[in-house]
Amino acid sequence: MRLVAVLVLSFLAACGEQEPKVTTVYEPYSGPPAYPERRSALPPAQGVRAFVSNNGSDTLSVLDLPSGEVLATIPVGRDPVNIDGPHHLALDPAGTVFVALSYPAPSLSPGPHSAHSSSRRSGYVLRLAPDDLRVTGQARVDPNPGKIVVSEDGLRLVVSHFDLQLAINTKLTPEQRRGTLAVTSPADFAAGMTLDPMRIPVCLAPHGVSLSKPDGARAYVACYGEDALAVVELTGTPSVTLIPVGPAPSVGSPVYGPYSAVLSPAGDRVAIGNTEGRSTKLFDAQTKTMLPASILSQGAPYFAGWSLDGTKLYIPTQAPDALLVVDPTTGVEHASVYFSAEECRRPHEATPDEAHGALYVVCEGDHLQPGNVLVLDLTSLQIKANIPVGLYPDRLVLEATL
Amino acid sequence: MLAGAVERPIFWGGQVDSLLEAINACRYYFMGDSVPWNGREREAQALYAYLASLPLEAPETQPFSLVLSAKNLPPGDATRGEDIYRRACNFCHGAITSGEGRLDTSTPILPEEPATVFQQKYKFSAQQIRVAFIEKVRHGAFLGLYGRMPPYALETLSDDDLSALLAYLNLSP
Repeated sequence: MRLVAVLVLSFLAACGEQEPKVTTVYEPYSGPPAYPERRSALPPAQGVRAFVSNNGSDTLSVLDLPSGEVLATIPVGRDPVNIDGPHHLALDPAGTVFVALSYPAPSLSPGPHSAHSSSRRSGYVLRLAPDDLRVTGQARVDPNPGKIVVSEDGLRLVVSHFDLQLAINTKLTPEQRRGTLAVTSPADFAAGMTLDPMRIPVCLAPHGVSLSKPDGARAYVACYGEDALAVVELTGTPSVTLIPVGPAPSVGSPVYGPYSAVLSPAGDRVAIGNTEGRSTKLFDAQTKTMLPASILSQGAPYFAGWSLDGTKLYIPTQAPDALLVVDPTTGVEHASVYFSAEECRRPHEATPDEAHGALYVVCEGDHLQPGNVLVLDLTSLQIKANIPVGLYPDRLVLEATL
Repeated sequence: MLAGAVERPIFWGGQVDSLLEAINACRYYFMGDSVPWNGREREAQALYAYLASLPLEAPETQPFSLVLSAKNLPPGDATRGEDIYRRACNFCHGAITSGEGRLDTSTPILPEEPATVFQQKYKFSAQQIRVAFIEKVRHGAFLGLYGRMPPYALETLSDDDLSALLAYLNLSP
């Protein structure tokens, strides 16, 4: 027996009565190391290792792509019961994983307790070690963190807050209803402490974010609730400029609904997916102007992927569930593939991997059953693999890719 | 249920993959201690020693089936419910109706204190009060609820057990 309890009885005078005080003294533990680290190191990949955030099951899937092997499924979060909602994730150049926890309100059939489905919790960002994904730091951010991005040089981290409840709260002033961009540095995270990053009010319901290269001095933010792209200068005194994504923007009741903002590899253009207007717009980063052409799609465009040379955009659309390959300059559609419900329901993001001749599509599924990641041949768009992941997958990041 | 915990790969139904984190969750949510152990504290070491001293009966992952949507239950056996109350509730809530022996004055006396709040503040019917109790037992301080009560999964408290408990608390269907 490694534990010896010694009872020390003393008597204290209290209110005229003697009450025994019991103090338990433990013998110092001398067995094998307590709480040994039992997490396994992440296995290496034959191809490229990818991380997928599973919103609805509080896990990260670690995949070997393009083969499609599931290397590991790792629980993430701070709360052992409630859904933490690992929404988006990002990697820094060293492979450290940053995941934003969004704490969605429980989607249960309402019971008699009035508090159900009305909680608003602060979001968190966890920093996870690259070797086994143990938590090595955290930051508290605003409710409903959306996109999380680390700059190419690994020195800046930003988080948007897609807070629709805030955006429609008419008791607040227009300024108070604006969601923020939290800005910090990955290097500021430390074990045992909670960071409180700087917040920059940006616009109503900001979601998709890209950072300029290499240092993320400028953020491009898709402002869903204001039909605009926000250009946020992050050096010196931060400044925010809103540029409408179309000729008839509507504040508070979006006509276009810009949801995603994806910077081209050269950093010269931003592809903006307008889920309400069902169009993709291009923004010229040099002139800070919206290019006139719109790429119209039958479905709502989500997070597009660029080819390395910037001549192709791979656009996932929902309703219908499809993938379009488009010339971003001319808007001409090169190819398209429409998915059956078994293949891919609600495609959310397309990620080309030219080194392996593959294209990865994150499929949300119906949010009740596990979603999946499709591996397509980058040229023929034929499905090569269909990888089950967790509930409501949202973001896929390739290692050594920002 | 604790036997074998030191060898278990995962806890809380798959949500936590470290024994120390699982313990810290209990300390935070149910014991009100917001400073997590790092494992080197004397108490942490003593707890590990105790857990390691238990027979290695169940080193594998243990099921933890939460009841997400609370529904009314059929009538139960009040006599069995008294035994269940003694084992599951009495330590925190003390004796029913008087609260004698409860942890502290912030721990509600069952069933009167919460039932009065449900009735007077929320105007719940008797059946709604019963379902509210079911919901609280199943969700504890989680899933939109508050406080410091643990959630009782089906493995810990079956629906039959809960029906019996409700009968002992005189919360009729």
